[in-house]
Amino acid sequence: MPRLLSRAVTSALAFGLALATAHAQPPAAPSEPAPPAPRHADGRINFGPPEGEVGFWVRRTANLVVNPDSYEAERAQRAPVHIKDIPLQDWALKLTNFRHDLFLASEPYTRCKPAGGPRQIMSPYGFEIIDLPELQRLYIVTTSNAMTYRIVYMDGREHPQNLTPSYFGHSVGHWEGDTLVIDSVGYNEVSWQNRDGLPTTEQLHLVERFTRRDRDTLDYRVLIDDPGAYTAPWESGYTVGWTPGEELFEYVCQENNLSPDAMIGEGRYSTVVP
Amino acid sequence: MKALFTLLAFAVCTLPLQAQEGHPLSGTWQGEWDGHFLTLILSWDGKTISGIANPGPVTQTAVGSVQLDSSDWTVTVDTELKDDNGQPFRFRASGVLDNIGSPLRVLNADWQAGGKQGRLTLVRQGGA
Repeated sequence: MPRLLSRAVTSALAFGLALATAHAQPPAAPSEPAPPAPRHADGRINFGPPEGEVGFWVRRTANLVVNPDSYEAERAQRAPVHIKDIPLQDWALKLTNFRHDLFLASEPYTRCKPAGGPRQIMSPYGFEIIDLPELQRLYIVTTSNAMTYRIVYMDGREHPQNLTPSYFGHSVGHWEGDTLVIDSVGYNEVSWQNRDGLPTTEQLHLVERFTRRDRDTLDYRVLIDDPGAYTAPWESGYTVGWTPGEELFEYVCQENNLSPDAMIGEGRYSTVVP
Repeated sequence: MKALFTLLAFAVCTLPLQAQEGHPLSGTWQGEWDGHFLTLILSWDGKTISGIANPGPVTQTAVGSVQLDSSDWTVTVDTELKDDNGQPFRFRASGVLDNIGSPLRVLNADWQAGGKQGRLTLVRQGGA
């Protein structure tokens, strides 16, 4: 990699890490309430920046479950549910523990594999929800990982039969009041849907609910229904914060991939991480 | 015959090889026992592991019993296989999954068939 490009990538990574770290902290107590959530002219909630501004969403919490045995147990303490309340099948719990014993080093994300569902929403460098009513579609665009996007069809269609499993599956959305509800199926088993190391299978069915509480806060809830890995559906979510005045930047995970060191720790390698 | 073999090899290689991070036994496994190739294509429906063994017009069988004990990652296989003439015989293997976090995880097992026994390594096929 040319030195200039390498320096740019390193700078971008450093910027992203700093940004992610900043947003990993509890938000400071606001001196005054955040402005209300912006709306489009037709009254629909606007998940993007208010008119004339720029900004994007970055996670404030990053884990779905509290897990004392987690490699990242301290960070996971802010999750909404405890792992003992997750109806994991035996093999799925053992596999989760195995992954944490390996410092989550086998996570496909560190190998630049695209990650959908809740893993996409907690991408450390942020995401945008781009609403295109004229196309009856939403796009969820992320910076980090493989710099990917997810299409959400808003035209009332149903999931196709006999889907070929894929990283992002097939997503259809609708509005329930001010909440955007996205229903997704058709996931492959090549990536993880979370940083908690909880496995999923091709039977995964997600129902995600996005509620912009005010300008600065997005409540993300997800119902995980996967009879291949769990004995019952379960629900969790994140709090996501608005980052005003910033825009998503180009990030190519495959270039000078530092994730194994940055996410796992220097000298901590798994044999499955190339 | 060569064309048929090529076609079969292609068919095996294009079967669903992607599953890596879900149930540890899902996917295509290949190994060799007593000079015979063994291919198991396994899937997990949430309760049962099922699949086919040695896909092909003469040798293909439905996989019988495959059990995973996740407390120590031991696997037992008890199934009918067919030889190159289509004659069925019983095949058993029991062993331990290794390197579970890898898409190329392995099953090291002891096998028994036709009054013989030996050691077998099945490797899960798939990309990194």
